[in-house]
Amino acid sequence: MSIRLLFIITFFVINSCADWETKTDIIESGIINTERVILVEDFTGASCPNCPVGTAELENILEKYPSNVVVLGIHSRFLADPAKTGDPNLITKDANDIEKLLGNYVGKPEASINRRLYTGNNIRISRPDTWITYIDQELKREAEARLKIEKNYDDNSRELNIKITATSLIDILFPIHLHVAISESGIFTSQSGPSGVLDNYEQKHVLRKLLTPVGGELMTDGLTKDKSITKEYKFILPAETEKLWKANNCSIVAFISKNETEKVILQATEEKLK
Amino acid sequence: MINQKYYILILIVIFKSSLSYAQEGLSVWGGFQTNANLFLKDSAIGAINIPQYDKQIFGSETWINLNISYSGFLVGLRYDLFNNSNLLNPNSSYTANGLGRWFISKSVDKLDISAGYLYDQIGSGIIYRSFEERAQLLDNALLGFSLKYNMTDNWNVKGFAGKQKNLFSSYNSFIKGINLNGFYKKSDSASWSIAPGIGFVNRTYGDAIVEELARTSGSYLPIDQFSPSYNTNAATFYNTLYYKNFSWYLETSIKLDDIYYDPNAVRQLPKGQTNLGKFVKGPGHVYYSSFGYSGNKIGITAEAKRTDGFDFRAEPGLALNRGLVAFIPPMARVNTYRLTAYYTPATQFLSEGAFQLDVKYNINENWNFGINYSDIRDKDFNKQFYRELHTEITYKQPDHYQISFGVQRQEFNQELYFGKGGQPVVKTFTPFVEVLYDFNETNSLRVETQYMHNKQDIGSWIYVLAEYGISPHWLFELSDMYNTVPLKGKKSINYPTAGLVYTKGNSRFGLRFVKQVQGIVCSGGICRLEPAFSGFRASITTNF
Repeated sequence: MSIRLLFIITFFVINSCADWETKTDIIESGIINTERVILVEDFTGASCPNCPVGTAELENILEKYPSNVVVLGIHSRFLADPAKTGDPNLITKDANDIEKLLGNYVGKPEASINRRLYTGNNIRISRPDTWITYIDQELKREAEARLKIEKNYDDNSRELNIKITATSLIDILFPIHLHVAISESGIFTSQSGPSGVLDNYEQKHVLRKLLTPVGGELMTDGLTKDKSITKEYKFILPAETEKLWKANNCSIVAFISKNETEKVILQATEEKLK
Repeated sequence: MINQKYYILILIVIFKSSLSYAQEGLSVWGGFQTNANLFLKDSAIGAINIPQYDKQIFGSETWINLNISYSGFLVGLRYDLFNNSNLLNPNSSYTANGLGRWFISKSVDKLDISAGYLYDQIGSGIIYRSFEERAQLLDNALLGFSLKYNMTDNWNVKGFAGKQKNLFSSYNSFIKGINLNGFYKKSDSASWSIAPGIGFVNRTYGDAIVEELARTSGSYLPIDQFSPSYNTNAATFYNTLYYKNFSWYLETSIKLDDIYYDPNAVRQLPKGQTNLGKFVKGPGHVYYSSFGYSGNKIGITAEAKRTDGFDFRAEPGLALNRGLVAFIPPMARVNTYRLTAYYTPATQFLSEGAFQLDVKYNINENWNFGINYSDIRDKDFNKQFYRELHTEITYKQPDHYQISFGVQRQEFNQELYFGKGGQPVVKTFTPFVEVLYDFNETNSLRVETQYMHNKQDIGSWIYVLAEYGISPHWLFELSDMYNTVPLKGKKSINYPTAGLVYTKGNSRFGLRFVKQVQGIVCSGGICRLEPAFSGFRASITTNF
């Protein structure tokens, strides 16, 4: 009898503990108006069953912030082999190099948000449903620079000329490194999913080529407010294959960062190639 | 955080004072363990592309601990050193060193007082267990204090409070608990006795954690939003009933309204789409029971468990084996042979219903027979996750030889345990034989072999190991693992290992050349690579 009484009392005591606490309000995620553009690097792969969850999350984020978020799909070696024989292999050396540059990781899907260290020792963040909270935090920071892409693409020669202009919105007193990449969407492949292989899955924002070194190219040692600096690049698009290097699906992605040690990205931008 | 040097200074002062004032009653003991890896790139088996193979080449882990007892005080120190270690995360490199543990304890009359990094558990650990598992670089000691009051020889109550250790720092939550343990036997001649207990644990998140949860909840659509909170409470009730040769353990644990990540929960997106994975808030429970019988010739153990929503961690964003406050007993046989242990079912915290039966029978002094059956399903016992039947027969001819042989049958849901969506259930059939032959009092040979017949996942494999021992110092080892029927366009590759161990007193020195097969472990919506290994492994362990 006494044991039963003890059980009942304990149950009511711990049950009532939940009411001791004052309710904490939810922090609603509203639209943030800013000039800042965030780079999200999505570490993904065609043979990664959990990765479509991350991709769907990013599409949702892009709908919310179409002008403030740029996504780059990093198909680095882990779980990125084609899900079915005959599919194009989306792994690139540049993707593997970015994976190495950003260091520690646990698995996939993971994303880096402006390459800022948000959790523990890892720049890459798991749990896709939390990515938007870090993007919101990143968007609330003061915009430091503006980036502009001007491009000229010739269909016949497949030559692409790019001019990137960075304009400082504050006095930047440290070196700025520029990164330029070509990404491609509309690549239809098989994709491992939580309940089997998905056919005809659209791979979006896939990093195809870095035009700058993986740590970026030194643009300037500093930039006073309202000053601009420009860099130009030339790239010949590889010959189109059945599924890859379709100029209509390609985009130019540019972003500026501190340096290889302090990898934080200051600003990003994206422009369709055609 | 108080400087670690401060703690070391206090402990050294205590140690030195003890030495100065008296040698009598002073005991000093400790241990040393180091593992060193030399990484040799081998692209054929996938031993590439982590910093250790690319550039670091060498990695190691070292633990040195020292314990001192004097005049009722027990003081302990452990120094940990990790250099390019891949234990924490097999995909990367971890380098750090510092004071891994310190503690001091003292008994005053009926009161035991402890402070520092403490290991303990309540019941079987379902609502609270702090322990160290070096093979996984798992050390969730509680940095805090503990008080235990021994009311009688058989009844005690203890309380503890602190923060869970996270490598050389601690997680952003505070854990406290209280536990009553007892034992009752009517008289020395009574045929029955009971050992009941009750425990309560509260975990309080730090402000930053709750703010993060509030933001995450705010980013969900209203239908998926949860109310962020600081506190979670868990309680457990347990008892062991002993009657003659029988014992029966029963534990019921409940956890109220905790916020945890459910990788399979469906979350709504704004335009009507859905996605998998979200934080949810809700209660959880575990029912666990174990029945044992130990007779003259027969031993029987039967266990059953049901788990629902019991992912109890120091922080809500943690995954895999990090920050676990709870330890839920696994329900599958612990296999030791290389191939019978390849498919091991990880404990499911959110939904699991399982039972296990283990019978050991001594036919006579030469023959033993054992059979184990385990069955793991979802919480409603509908969907099969894992099933294993393991039989083993042993024949002993004392001082001459011993032969063990048997067969294992496994059904392993790789969709769940490896995260390989849409892949069929792995069905293995693994016969095994082990022979131990004593040539004389000092020389012996042990040979084991297993063949895993498997038409799914990694295909069929054979493993052979020979160990030659020259007692009391030397042990030589040679083994190979080979995929006889590779699948998915893979090549058949040999994974040889050769090694030697030298034992002298309390010290053991080992050196091995290892080629180890790669695997993937997926849990909690995250897939983690357990990379192949190629290179040398050296180890030294000693106690003093």
